[in-house]
Amino acid sequence: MRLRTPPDSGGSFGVKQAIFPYIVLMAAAARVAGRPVKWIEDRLEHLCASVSATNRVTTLEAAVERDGRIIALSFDQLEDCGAHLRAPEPATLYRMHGNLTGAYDIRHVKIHNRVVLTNKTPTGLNRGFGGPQAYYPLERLMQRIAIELKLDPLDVICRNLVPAAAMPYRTATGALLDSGDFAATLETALHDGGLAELLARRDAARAQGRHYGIGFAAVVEPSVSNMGYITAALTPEERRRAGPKNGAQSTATVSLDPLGAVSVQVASTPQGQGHRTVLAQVIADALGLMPQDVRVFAEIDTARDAWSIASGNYSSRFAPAVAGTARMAALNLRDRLARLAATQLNVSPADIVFARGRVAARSNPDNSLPFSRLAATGHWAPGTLPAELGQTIRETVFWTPPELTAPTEADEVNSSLCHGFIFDFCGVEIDPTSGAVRLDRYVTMHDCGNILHPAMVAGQINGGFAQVLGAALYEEYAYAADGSFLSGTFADYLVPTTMEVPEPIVLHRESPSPFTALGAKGVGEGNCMSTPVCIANAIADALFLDAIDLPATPAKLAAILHGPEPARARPSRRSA
Amino acid sequence: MKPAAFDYVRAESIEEALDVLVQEGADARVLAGGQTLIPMLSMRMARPSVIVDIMRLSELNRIESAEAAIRVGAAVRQRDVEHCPDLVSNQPLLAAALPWIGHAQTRSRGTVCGSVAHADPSAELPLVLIALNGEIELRSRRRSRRVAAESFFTGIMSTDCQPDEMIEAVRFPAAHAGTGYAFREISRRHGDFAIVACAAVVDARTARLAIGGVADRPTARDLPVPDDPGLDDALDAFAWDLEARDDLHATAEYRRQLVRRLGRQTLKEAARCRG
Repeated sequence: MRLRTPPDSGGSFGVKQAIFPYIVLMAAAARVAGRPVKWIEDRLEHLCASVSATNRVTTLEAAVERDGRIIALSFDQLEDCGAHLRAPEPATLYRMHGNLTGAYDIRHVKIHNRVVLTNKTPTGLNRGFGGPQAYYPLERLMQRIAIELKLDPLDVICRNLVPAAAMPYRTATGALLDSGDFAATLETALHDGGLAELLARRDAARAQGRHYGIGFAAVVEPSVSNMGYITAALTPEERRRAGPKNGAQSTATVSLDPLGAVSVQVASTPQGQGHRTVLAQVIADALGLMPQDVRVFAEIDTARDAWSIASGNYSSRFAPAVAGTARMAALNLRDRLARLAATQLNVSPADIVFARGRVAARSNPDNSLPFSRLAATGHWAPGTLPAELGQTIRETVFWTPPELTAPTEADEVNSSLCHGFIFDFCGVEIDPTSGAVRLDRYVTMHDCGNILHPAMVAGQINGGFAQVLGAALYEEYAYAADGSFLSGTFADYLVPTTMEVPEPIVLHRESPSPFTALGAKGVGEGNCMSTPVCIANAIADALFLDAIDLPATPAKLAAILHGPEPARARPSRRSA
Repeated sequence: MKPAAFDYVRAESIEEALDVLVQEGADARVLAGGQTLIPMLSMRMARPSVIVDIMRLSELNRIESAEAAIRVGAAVRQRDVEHCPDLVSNQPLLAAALPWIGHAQTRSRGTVCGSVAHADPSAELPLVLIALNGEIELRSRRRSRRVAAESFFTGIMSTDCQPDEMIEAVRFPAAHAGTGYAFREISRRHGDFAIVACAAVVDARTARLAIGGVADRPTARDLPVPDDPGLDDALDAFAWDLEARDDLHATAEYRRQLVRRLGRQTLKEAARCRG
């Protein structure tokens, strides 16, 4: 087996992370033909046979105190995985296994999972993987609890949040929530996002007979998947027979060339996530250089480069795992270079600083040498290196977080290393004629640990929001009663354009993860998890609905607004 | 190439284009802005043997505004009409409908007559022609004729244009003083095909409402004026008579409801605009 990936492959949103039958068939065809084989897939083929998110029917029951405090949850999840169970399915059911209680402190959980195959598009990796399916019932439940107990939905959320003092917090299903002050984060969001103003708008709109609603959603955003979580689908006996699966091995290599230039190589297969920008910054920070001094290689060849089966760009693992591993490699190299510099500058290694492209004695900054000269030493004069230093040319780090252990006998698993916190709220207004949903304001508060690069984080949040607005209001893999596929073109499968996507108000709080080298958590998928149900809650609030299915199309909502249509009046026979 | 193979003729004169139509009959298609035909070729929903490109014919690239009507030639792009000086006063309904057609990019390529020739039941320009009682000028080697919009559109993407004929121009009657015009549309996204589009023409005594996106062709009906108590029943009957159907984006019931509600709003707006 050998896989080579380009440094950029264009957008993926999860789809490119899986292996498809055609990929294997292409390789086999190339062997037979003795020449390269090209695969062309058109839109219809892609939509009907590549990847859909799973279609889940969840029955969620809760035991709730009068004050809204949830004692226990019982999930019955029926997962439609489409026509074939393709790897890594049914992982959609298990990615959220550890954090199925979301941001809440709920100690008793029962889960019953079933998978069915149908004749629909096979399911697979898709941004938010498992998140929208898990949080939709949970956050709809929070609203229903508030309505049934005549409580404020915010009170129900707040009474159940995991307290900051409990961090790191082990959930009932095995996740270790790493850090965060959920209650304080929520309070900041309400204040800075202007909830009071939205409540006033809702009052004013309702007084005029308009349909205005407010929705909330609180979720934890898992990142850096545990390779072992999918084995929670097996029985403990089956797991014992199959052998252990756990961890999330990341790799990074930092190299110095004979001119002292720095390069970094990672096995992460980016599709436009800004690896070059962020890695150059991370390595430059570690070595006292400028980002433009660092060359980044993100293409991989599995026959040549450091990688592991956990490599790749999924589960929002770049910032917490890949960038952190790259930093470790740079720091290891820096420590060895510091010891080499100490011999040349006649100071102790602890006195060496790397700054502004030079390596200097902290006690006497004039006593310094250029970084490039020090970095080149391993090439030109390896004999001058102290023997215990080994080489100073290249450092590869393999890192797997010890927190990612295999599932327990009780099927508990820490399915992800990091858990960011998201709290969203929004105001929507429904047009009384068309039933169209207008987002009046969308506020999304993120705690993704340390932010490595604000513009990249903004890009992930805005992009995820735009993508999932499609899921909430427009996009649907639709099938006729006879099973035929109805959404095979972009005239049928409606992706929102810039005209349909308002800009959300994005807020931040930073609670560093204690488990990652840079304190960062993943941020790429959160809105795919929080936004659909936040919008659904707002629409339900606007129209006083018990149940709502997405996408909330104008025709669906208009049927509620317009009420039942009177039968056709008999034609009058005035002239008869 | 995604389309099936075809021959391409760039006509140097109208006669040359018409000769191809005579020789090839239904196997030939006229290419103007290509905003519909090219995707149809790529999806192989259309498989003509010959494409006749008329966009180099300068005599077809003319907009003539006369007192009675605005005459738009077959090679005139939608964007050129949209940017016509005085369009809003010459024909406010056309001015109101044009921005709803696709996107600025597609209007920069797409032609007015091309949209009329394609005759999509939800298209804006056929709807405007129907609402205004406009006319289509057809030309072949045999004859030239003018057809009223009401009889030109015969069903889903079908018209009275014969295989040897092409549209030479369409005529939008100019606005009358004392008449109000309004256009409204509901679609899923900006630029999408209309689920329901309404064009209203209202004067002191008469009201005319044309509906697109519901029946198999744009359809107009004379209705009671907006403040007449009989309007609701008339709109209800109109909504049922259009025989709406379900599709992926909307149910038949949703369309009927929009005909009633949006139809009334459009008529009222036209009455307000009567000036």
